[in-house]
Amino acid sequence: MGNETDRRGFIKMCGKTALTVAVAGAAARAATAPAFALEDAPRVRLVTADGKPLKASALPMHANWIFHYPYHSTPALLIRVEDPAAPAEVEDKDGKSYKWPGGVGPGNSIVAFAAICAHALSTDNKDTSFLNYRKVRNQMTGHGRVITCCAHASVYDPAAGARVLAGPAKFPLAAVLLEHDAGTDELFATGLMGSELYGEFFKAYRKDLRKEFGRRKYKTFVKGDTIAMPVSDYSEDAIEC
Amino acid sequence: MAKRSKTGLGRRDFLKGAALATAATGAGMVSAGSGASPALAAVAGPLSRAADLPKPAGQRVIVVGGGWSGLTMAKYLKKNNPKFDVVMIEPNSTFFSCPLSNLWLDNVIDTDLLLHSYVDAAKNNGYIWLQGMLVQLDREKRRAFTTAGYIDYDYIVLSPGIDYNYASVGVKDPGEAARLAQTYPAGFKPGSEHLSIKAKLENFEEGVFLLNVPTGNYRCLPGPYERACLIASYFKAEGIKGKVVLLDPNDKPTIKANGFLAAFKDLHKGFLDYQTAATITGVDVAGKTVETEFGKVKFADAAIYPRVRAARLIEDLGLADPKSPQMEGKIDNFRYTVPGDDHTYIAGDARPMPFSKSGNTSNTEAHIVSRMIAARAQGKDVPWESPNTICYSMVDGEGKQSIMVDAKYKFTKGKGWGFTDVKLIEKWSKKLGKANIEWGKGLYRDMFS
Repeated sequence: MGNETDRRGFIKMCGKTALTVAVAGAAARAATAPAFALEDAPRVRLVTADGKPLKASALPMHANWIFHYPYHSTPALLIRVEDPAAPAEVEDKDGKSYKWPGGVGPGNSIVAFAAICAHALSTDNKDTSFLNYRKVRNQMTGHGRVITCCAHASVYDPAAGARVLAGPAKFPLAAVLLEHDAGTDELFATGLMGSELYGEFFKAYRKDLRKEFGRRKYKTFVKGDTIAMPVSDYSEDAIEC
Repeated sequence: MAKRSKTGLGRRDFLKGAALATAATGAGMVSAGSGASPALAAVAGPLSRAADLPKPAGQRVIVVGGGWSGLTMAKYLKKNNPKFDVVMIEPNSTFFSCPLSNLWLDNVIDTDLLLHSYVDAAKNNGYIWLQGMLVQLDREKRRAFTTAGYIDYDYIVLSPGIDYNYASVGVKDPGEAARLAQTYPAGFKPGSEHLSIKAKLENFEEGVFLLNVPTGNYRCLPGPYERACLIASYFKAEGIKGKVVLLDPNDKPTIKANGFLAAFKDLHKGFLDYQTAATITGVDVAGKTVETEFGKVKFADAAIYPRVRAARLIEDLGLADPKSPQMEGKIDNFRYTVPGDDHTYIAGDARPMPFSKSGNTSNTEAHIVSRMIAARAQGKDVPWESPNTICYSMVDGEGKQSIMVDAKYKFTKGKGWGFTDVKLIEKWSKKLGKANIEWGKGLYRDMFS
């Protein structure tokens, strides 16, 4: 695939332009290709805050964790649902079907999705996290075991490709593709599927992302390892609603 | 005379060009043979020329009003049908958000959150913002006359919002109403009114700051209650010997009643005096007094909120329902079209349905109506869907804590319109306070990005 030079050139195109190219490439491939596939997506290992590899079996049930992928500044939720999450057909923002591959790891229960709400881009940052997975039923929507966005009450089903269950969002959260190494029990983020919103995300939050992650770093791919931790550790305020 | 030959616009051209047949016989027009100077004859001005717009690439849709309805409508008309040529007409140079403005009064947020660019909204979403006002409409020829020229269209969506009905507070003389509007602006039509209220607070010495809840289906049900809470918070934080007096014709708040009542009692004791069954029947602007059925209330300063009506434009265009006490538009409640005219729509706060007049309601409604128009332009249709009223109120300015409600609407034969799917969180919290602000930020992204 791409060597270092290719990837640097790809990253230079930055944000939306680069991704548009990736989409065009993806569309040219087989009919069963997902609706969006990030070309040259980094393969990144999930580690805990101390740098040690995150072991899938150590991820608690109903975990509401966060890591950054594929860019340094783009958050994703890492969730362990209770029941096995089977593959599911969901529709992207253009109404095109794609097959979400389901959960990985023990009992196929570990899933990950971009923490950028498909309605109006509410997100999770160091200060406040509006998108959270909770086991308990929330007051605002009456749903439990779902990802809720506490800005305008969109609800997504993490066990079914983050399909929209309620609220104003019109398409699922983009899915982060995971791999579980059965031998080492390690977890890897390997790609994306669904309607990505990174171009809009960068545009909406550029000023803050540059400050928090660095002027160039915010829009470059993570490499090697990426840290995963509970949202409540990462964010000052994980909003419940 | 030289002027006339330069423009080439004589009196006859004016009569031909503009559909203002009545103006020709009205006052101000020089009639033939009157002997008055032709140079002073009324000139149609921008009403007689085409607006400076690119040639329409597809069917042209005009959106009148750049508020929460119009901005959402313009963007999503284009998104739902990229072949549409969309023009949004709005006279204000800048968008100022009425929702969340109470938070700014108490310095919880800054105006950078509230001010947004129409230029950006139009540029980002592939439509044209024409700065101007709609003045006249020829629905037969489908020609809209604006202060920036006339525009031929295929569909027009009127979302011009509200105007104030000062007669409802006993101020019937238009001159007195104008003086009242300027001296104690209500603060529910965004921009200067809000700047004035902020300045009043910053200059407030002591005494009563009067607020009131209007009768009828007024814009922003929780607005006066939230404003009372945040001004009370402001007085307390600034050590001002002031008190908010909130006059309410109802016997309890019109929305989130328990939440507001608890807040008045637990958070704002000594700074907020809530009086129920109090209807304003008269205002003495110079005497700084309002009259209610039970006596006069004196104040040091005020923001007086009369009953609302649909923007006068709706009535001027002959589209108001004469049976509507708020002069709202007459439309099919489920299709949003004017009776007998599938090319004219009315949406936003000028609508007659008794939905909450709120930003979230208008935004979600415009998502739906834009889908309807896009579908119908292609010979299809989409079913009616209820708008969604999600509404946060910050009851504690110091702690930045809010309450919220989330509701939809349903129509029952024989009963009419009512709320449905209501979720209410009346226990204030900092988390809801944060969600309150994010609610606004997300919708500004929806309308402007």
